[in-house]
Amino acid sequence: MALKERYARLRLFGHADLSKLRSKRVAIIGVGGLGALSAEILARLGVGELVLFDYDTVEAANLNRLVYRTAQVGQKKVRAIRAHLRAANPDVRVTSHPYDVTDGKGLVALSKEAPRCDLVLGCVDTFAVRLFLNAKCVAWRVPLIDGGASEDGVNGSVHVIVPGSTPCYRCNKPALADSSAARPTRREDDRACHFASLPTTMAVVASLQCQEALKLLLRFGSVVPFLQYFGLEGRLERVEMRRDPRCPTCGRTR
Amino acid sequence: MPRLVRDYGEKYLRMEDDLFYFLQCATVASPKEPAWRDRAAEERYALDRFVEYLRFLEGDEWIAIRPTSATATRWTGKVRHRGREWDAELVLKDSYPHVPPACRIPELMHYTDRKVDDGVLGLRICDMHMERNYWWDEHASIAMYLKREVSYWVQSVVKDMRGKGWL
Repeated sequence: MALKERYARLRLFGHADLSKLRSKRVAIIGVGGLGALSAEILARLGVGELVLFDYDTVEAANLNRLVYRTAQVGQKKVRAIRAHLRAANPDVRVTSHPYDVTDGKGLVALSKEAPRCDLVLGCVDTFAVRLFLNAKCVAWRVPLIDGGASEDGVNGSVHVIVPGSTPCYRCNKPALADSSAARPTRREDDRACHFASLPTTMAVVASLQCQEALKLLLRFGSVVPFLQYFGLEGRLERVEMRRDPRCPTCGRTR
Repeated sequence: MPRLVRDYGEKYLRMEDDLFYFLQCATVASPKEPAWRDRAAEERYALDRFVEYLRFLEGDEWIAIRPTSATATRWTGKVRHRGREWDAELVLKDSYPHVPPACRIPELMHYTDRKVDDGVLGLRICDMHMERNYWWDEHASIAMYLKREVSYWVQSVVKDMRGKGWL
């Protein structure tokens, strides 16, 4: 058979049956630099349904991070990415929620959607929301894969949280005590905090996040609890952690 | 006096200050949940103790903030520093206390990079600097947020503004 059909090359993958992704449902919280790329990767892989959350709109400053187009500036990110994903793979169902997941309609939608998902990808940019998603996913017993990049834009990390099995985000003391968070941020205009954001780092982190997602969804290989990427050194580091029995989120003695 | 305010005891004390004994709440409930009434009472109690602490021990009552309604999801008041005062607003989202409050001090927002866009509140102060050793959990209170976040934010911003001749 000629390799012309959409999934032909994926069928050659020998470690798992990627066609099973069609029955999977993945929520992606935040479709900015990281989440948009992860959504595209999962869509092209043929994940059955993607449930997207983001209250933000596309700004010109987002255009350095792939996916979004100049003509989409001003559109809600979830609407813009939905059009993009449908164009990339019409087989994928995309549900979008243009709301803040920590409040009102967004929280209601998240509480309804996430427990029905096979996996949640956390692609947010604040620790507060990371910890919130962590607590919710642990409570719902839905696996969470959090991804993020450092403020200087060259390092990143991926944290896989399988409730009841791997350490949760709050168990992860090195991540919580990130000294880089104390550095002042660079201000470029009068609207908001700004961090450097490199599309290369975002693509690396998104790829790592989706690689772990694949392993988790299709149960092959070895899931990495915490993976750090150091861009300046070109180094990947697998960090082995243990669950904290006194963790207020997932600990047995909390 | 509410009896629910949590005392972690010396064994579990993670803070550098005894003040934090009485700035935490026992009830974990969000504004849309029935137990929010208890939580709101604990929040008021913790805040009153914090203000007493400021008044009598520090001699610097830099914050005065009260809920705007019985639901206690929006709090307004003043922050003071070196003889000046500014309006302050705190909003508790539906996911509070799993996420910290969002705080806005409009008159200071224009001069600093410590601010972010918030989906509910609009422009709010940035709490990135409390992430160094992220301490917020669902027992943390508004009073703790004021003590561990807003106080440092105001001090650093006012210092910066004075340095630039804006105050």
